Amino acid sequence: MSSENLNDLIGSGVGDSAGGKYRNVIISGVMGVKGDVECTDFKCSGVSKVDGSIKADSILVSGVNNVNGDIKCKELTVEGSLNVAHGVSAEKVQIYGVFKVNDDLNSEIFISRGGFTINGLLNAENIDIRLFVKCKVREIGGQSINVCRDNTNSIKFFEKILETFSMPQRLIVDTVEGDDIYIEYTNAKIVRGKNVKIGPGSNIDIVEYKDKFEKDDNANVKEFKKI
Amino acid sequence: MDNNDLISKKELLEITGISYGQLYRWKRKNLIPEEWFIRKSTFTGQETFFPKAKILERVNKILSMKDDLSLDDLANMLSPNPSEIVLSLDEIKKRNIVSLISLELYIKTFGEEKEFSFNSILYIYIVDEMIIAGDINLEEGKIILETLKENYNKFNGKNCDLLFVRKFGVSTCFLVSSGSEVYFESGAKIIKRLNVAGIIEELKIKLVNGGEPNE
Repeated sequence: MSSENLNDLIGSGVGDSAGGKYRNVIISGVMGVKGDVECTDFKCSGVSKVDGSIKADSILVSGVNNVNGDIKCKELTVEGSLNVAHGVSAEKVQIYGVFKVNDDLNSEIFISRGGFTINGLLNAENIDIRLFVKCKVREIGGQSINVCRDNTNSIKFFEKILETFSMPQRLIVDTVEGDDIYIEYTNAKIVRGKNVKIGPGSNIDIVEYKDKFEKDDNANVKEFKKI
Repeated sequence: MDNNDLISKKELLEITGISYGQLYRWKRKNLIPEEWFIRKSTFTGQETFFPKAKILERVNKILSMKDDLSLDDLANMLSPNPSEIVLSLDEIKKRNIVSLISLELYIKTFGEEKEFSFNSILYIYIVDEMIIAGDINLEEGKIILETLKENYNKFNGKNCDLLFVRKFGVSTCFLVSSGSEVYFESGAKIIKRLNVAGIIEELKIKLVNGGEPNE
């Protein structure tokens, strides 16, 4: 996108703005954007609500952002909280905060170090999820899928607290399909893949594998078969 | 659609030998349309099914072409949205994409255009196919051209079918969105039902590969 003749949208106070094409959108105050936004950089460190879709090269949300449409971008980083009413398509998604998508999420790379809820399909080439809080997604599909619980000491301290607030460090998912799969602390109905490895703390109803299947002693797999 | 026409995801991978990773990659790149993923509940829970003939043809096509073209090129070729191809009259003639008769019919109907957009070429191509197949005559070709030109854009790139109907020698044509069912009185006869997305794919391959040169 050519950035010539385009202005920045800077929201550092409180107010509403129209959508449209911008060069950079930087929101550090409280801002409502009425309409679709197209820009190069979208940064929100304040509170914003976009009443439409966002199309950008890179999106960084370190504040609180609600999007009432789709997101289309190359890079999406969520450090704060982002809520998307429809789908997301990106090349790289990184989550360090809280992320909610009401539809499908398509990306080449998906990295999560936070929490997310995806009410559709999470479709990515490489999926790397570290569980800190409860993560929920309807379906996962991709090439390599890696889900593990973070083992750094700092979080161990919070583990009990999180569990009492019914937010265990778990992934809840219906189906997982991929080529190379490693999952732990996951509740899934069906896991299908070429090489499947189920780590500790998992509750899986059915595993269907093609080449290799490994199971941790502390994992609970009701049924597995080679196809 | 009855169950015999569907194939489950598992069967598909078995028959074609592709992996989940590939399937999801192609889905992400829109090489496989969203509406082909049909979710049904079975005794093992939710399963995904595909229209059998369509998906097998598509997978074979992708497998045969993926060595020559990048996935993005493929996606561009297979998507039902018109590409940004513009050809001049001479080029169309030279590359023998459509027959001269249909081309002249188009020019006679709408006047000469300096450059033909992808859509215009598509309209001529559709009529050309039907004329060559002997389904319609030139006069009817004109009706189809006019219908397409006036209405095709209203579908906004969505998949649609062209229906050509004749009754007691009187003919008419119309566009309906793909997959919808239409029923006629018994005297009317559907001469042809064409899927425009299918034609677009054919045409794109022809445009990319260049078509045979005109002798």
